[in-house]
Amino acid sequence: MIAGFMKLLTHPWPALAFRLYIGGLFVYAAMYKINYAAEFSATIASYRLAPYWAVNAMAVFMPWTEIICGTLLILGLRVKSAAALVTALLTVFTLAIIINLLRNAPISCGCFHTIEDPISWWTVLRDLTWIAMTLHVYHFDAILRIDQLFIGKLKRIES
Amino acid sequence: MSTSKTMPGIPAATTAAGLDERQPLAFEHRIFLLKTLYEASGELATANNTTDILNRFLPTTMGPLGLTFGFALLLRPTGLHIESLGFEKNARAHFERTGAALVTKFFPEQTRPAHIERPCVLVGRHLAKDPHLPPGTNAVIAIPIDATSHAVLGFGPKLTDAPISEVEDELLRGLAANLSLALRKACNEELIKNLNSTLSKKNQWMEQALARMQQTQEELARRAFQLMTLYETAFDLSGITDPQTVLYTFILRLMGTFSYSNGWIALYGPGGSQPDIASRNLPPETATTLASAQGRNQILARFVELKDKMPRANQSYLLSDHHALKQLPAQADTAVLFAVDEDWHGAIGLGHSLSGDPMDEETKHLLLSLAGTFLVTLANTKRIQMIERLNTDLAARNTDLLTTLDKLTSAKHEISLLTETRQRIIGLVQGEVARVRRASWLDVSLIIIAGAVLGLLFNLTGPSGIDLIPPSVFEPAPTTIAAPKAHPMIRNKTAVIIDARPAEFHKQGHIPQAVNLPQELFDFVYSMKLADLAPETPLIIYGRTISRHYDAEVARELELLGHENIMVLKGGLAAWENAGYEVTR
Repeated sequence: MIAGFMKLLTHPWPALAFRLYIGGLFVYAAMYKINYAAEFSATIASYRLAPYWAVNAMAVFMPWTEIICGTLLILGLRVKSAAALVTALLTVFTLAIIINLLRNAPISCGCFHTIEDPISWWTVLRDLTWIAMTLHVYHFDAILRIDQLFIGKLKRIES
Repeated sequence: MSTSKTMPGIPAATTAAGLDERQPLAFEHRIFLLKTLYEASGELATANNTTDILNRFLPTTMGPLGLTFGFALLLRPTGLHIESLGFEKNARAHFERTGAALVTKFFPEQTRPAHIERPCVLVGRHLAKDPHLPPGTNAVIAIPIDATSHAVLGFGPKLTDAPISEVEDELLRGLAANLSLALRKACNEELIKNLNSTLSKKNQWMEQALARMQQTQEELARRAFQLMTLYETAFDLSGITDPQTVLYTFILRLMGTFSYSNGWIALYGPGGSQPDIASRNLPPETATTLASAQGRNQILARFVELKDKMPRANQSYLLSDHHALKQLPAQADTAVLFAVDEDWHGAIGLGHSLSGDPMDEETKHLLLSLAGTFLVTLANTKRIQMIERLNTDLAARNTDLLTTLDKLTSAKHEISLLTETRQRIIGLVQGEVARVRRASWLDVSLIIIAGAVLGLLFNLTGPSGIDLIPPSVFEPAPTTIAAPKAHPMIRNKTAVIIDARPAEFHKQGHIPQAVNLPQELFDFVYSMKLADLAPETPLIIYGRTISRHYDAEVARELELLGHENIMVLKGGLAAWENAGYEVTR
């Protein structure tokens, strides 16, 4: 059973599902942030971790990075790099939430909208789950990837 | 030896009276002796040689003196000559054995004088006792003729057995003197005759030698001419590398050397190749005939006729048969067939000799020698041509080889470039494959850069764009006020305290009586709570984090609305709390 569970756990299909989920999640989250940069800037500032001169720039650049990573994950292009970058972003977000939870800061997550419920440990758990999914994608994703077509052609050139 | 002083034939005891009677007899005897001497001189004067002299002297001497025997020994370098009279036959054999010793006794070699002496005459009976002389010898005459010739004569006793008188002794001496002169004369004549004979022989030999020398000189001159001709021919031909020029030069040389008015050379190669023809002073059709197949066959037919004499490689053959000469395709009085090698054959023809004389053997030999030189030169020319052709082919092949080498080098360069390109492509492919299979810093960087670029572009062009860097960074810092100084103003309500932070933070804790004026709700809150304030009313603003300067931003907004006395609480809420002032939670 454990073996079956492990097999299921390491199977490419769950990885594909996680990949599409995380990719869609990041695209969705980024769509709002892109259109409301000022609000997202305020959200970043509310975490009180980034220097004030870099907050606006982060609010402008970060959503586009997220949407690119989400798109790459959905398409199956440079999955490992995108998954690694998503993992890093989620880790930063999670650490920021944890720090502000420890500070008892009355802020919302700002992950999808400006006005959300305040951050909580559930939020941390949710982010950790997403990180686990992303790591699964990183290690076990292998099907329905545009990269595979590209690699196949490159293999023919190499031979 | 003793000699008598008395007259011969006159008794020693003659008296003075009888002297007158005997004087006419003595005179007659003397006259007889003088006649004898005269006759002997005449006999000796007419003799031809020493043998004849001795043959005549012996009877001439013995007769008048009445001697019983006589002998004469003549020792010369040529041998011992013996003449005798009155001896037995075996006496000659005796003189042949002892004659030389007898002469040597009288003329020992150690005592022979350098000059000729007078003859010596010995008379006396004591001579009969000498063992070297025949028994009974009564007189001996020793005559030195010259340094190497001597004569010894001996005479026996008188028939009367009387001793030889003084007169007879004088006669004998006179006869000896005459004999000596006659012998010397005869010897000299013989010597002169021998010298003449030798001289004549030498003259004859000299004439023969002179004739041979002239013949040798003529031979040398002819050889020198031949050698000079060979040398000049070889010199003329040495610098020529064109076979046609060799033919022309050689035919001219032959015509000049042997005085012929015209000449031709035809050289035929293997198969039906074009022959080389050279002709001088001949009509043009002769060259055409020689170059034709018929001319070629006519000349080659002469080779076939020769059969075993046919010239082999580098050989020539003089064609002397008139019938064969007439069969040649061109007129020739003298012709030479030659073969350069197994493939190249030909003929040389010379016509109309200017001298009209036929060639002698020497001239023929010279012609063949010149032909040999010609063949060597021709063979060398052919070899040079072949070498030049080979060199040309080799140069062409070298050029082709260099071209091929250049192509190969270029192809090799292209192959190396293609290989290098392939390796690079493979490297890129492998890199790409590796990048796909793992997370790479390059991809991450590209994603971040792409996000930055897209975000920047969208922010610049989109409707909700914001400043990348907050404007407060570039604006002058607002006027600040320390908490202890602000506290009485706030307590006395001479100044309005404004909390610029978001409402959530304001709710967590704020300075008493502070008006929460977050920037997001600025217009609404300001209009509700602060719109009535006079512009000069002091406004103390606080609220600042690491991520945002709320106080500065709100202060800038208030300043834009015309408020003149705006101050920012230095250190914010933290400084207020640290100063121990009250905070509402």
